[in-house]
Amino acid sequence: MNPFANLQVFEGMRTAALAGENNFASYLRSQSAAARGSTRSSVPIQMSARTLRMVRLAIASSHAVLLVGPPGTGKTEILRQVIDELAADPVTYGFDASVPISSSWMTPEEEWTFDKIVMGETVVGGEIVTTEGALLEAIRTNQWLVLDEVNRADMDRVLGGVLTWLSGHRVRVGTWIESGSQSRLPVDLDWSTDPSSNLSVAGTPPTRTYAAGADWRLLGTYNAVDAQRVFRMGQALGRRFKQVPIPPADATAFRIIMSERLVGTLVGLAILDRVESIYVAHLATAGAELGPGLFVDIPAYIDAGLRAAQSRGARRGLVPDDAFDDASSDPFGDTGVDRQGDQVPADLHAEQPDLVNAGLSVPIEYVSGEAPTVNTDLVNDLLAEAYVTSVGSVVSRFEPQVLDRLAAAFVDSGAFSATSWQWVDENLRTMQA
Amino acid sequence: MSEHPHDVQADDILGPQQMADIRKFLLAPDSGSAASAWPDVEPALHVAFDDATWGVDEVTSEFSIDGRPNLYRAEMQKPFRDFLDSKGIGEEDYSSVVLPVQYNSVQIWLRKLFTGQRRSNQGWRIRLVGFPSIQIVAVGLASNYQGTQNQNTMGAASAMLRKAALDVLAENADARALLEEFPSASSEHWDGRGLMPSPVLSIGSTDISDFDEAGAQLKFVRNTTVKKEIATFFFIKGLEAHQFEEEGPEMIAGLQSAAFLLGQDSE
Repeated sequence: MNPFANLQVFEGMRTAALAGENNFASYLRSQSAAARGSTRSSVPIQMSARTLRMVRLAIASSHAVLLVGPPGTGKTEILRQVIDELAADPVTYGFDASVPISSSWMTPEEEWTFDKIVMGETVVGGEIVTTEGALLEAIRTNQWLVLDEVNRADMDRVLGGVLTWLSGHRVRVGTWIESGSQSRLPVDLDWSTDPSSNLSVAGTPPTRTYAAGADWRLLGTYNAVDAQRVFRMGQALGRRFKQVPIPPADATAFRIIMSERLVGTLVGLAILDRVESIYVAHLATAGAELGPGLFVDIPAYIDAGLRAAQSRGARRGLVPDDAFDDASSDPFGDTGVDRQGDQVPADLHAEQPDLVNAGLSVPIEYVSGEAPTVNTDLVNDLLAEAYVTSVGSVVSRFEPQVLDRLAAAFVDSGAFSATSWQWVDENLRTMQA
Repeated sequence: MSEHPHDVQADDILGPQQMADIRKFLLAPDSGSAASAWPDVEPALHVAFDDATWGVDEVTSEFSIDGRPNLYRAEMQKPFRDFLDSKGIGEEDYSSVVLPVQYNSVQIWLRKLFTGQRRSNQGWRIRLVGFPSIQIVAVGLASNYQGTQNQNTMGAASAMLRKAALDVLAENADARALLEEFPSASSEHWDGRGLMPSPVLSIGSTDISDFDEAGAQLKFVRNTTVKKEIATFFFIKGLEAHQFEEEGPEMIAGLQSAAFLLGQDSE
């Protein structure tokens, strides 16, 4: 999309530009990928150039790579973007330009077995026949295999039979039974020195060989937090992968991401500080680090709640329909005072709507010349609700001592009041049940 | 991308009289003069920029009571302050040198970008900004300014926005060619002489030709808020008053066309 043709997109681009060249370049890449339809970029990636380089070079230099980090850090999005980059410019990273890079994505399930990922059996017309699993199919079709959230399945069990192959050696994985055929062919996994992967049936006796090409890759994302509760990858398998840590965005990057989300909302920057303090409390609490992706919908929830309240108020005739459209009440607006105290443009000094005297308890208080403040029960309640619905499913699985430390960080920083946190905690316990 | 759909473009409407009227508004020395001049300008701009597609409005920024003395104290450097002292012009006297209006500005924006009320702190627009004290008009495309941002950061961002805009217009040779003549704002524009095609040798009616043959810097006549506003220009050019009248119609029409194309959705 042309970023100059849409206000919100333009503001997102502008915010990224204000954060520096690396962020701007990253933003343009994500927009470009979205335009190509290869992914919907729901959260602009904010990460250090060094981490991005690690991802690219790990994939360029290794057959198997995992991106590891807490949920919400954009591991999936990063992988999509980097794969798009490599596909667009394979030569820069040592890939053969004559072999198009494409990928097959899967999200493992808890019940996955060797059959699902390597090869299994099914019954066709009363006969048992062999079926390709995702790995064999990906090699045969010369597509990189991407396992998103790899630890949702027990990969030690699923991939245990191909550990030797992941170390670069040929390995026999089973027997191929073709429908209507009496023959049973051994099936081998191997590596080829050619860039391209291939399936061949050759040799005496014939062997069905899936040879992954030199440019073929097995990639994945690994949720370090969920590893406590789902499946932790064993060392034997883990060391067959290059593991790239994807840390959560820092507070500055988080603010950039959220700023774009706030454009057009009622709360604007007034809520940004609150959400940021919640995020920072998570970053500061060992074992509770989460990425920004889990928090990005919080402003939309609060905005929906405030609009519903406004609508109800308007129907009662207490709040003008355009009360929150006044430019002077825009939370992004200039306060009107610079250090020299000079006059600011007249359009920022338009008359304020008298909402307080309308008899309605308003969620945002506007005082001429000052930033709007968010300080009422409604917004506090909406913030707590948004937190539970956005992040609760992950936070409810934290170890009790982690949750206790997080609660202390919230209350100390004022991110949540003691009362609000008590409500959140009660609801988290409901989610644990 | 779509061609500009209108039969009328700015240079069809903005003849010598209209340009003289716009100049009179942009370089009006006080708010009363600006307010008197605007009614002559507004109708022509609304014809040149049709209401269905474009919004047009104006701003006059007057110095506060302490604004002009503060330029003396905080914005200009010692050599110029010493020069003024040598002419018997002290801090309070500077209020008599610099005119009451810091700038008069016209904003022209694509309505499609703003679903509701146009906001000065969102989006981008065509801007014409006149500095009466130095008889200079800045023209170009600008984004927006929010109170906490630093001008150097804004300037760096404007450079990136400029590149992105030229990329969007990659297949519109004419628009690209026009805008390539406009750099993005730098300290030369918001502090120095980047907006002055030739040396400005007077401030208001005060002759400063003895100070430096290079002439006045913008910082002598603008406050920090305006410094940041200038930094939001991702395409900017400065014109002397007579240049604005002579070259203005073609330049404004070019900006109109380029801005229209820049704001079109990708196909």
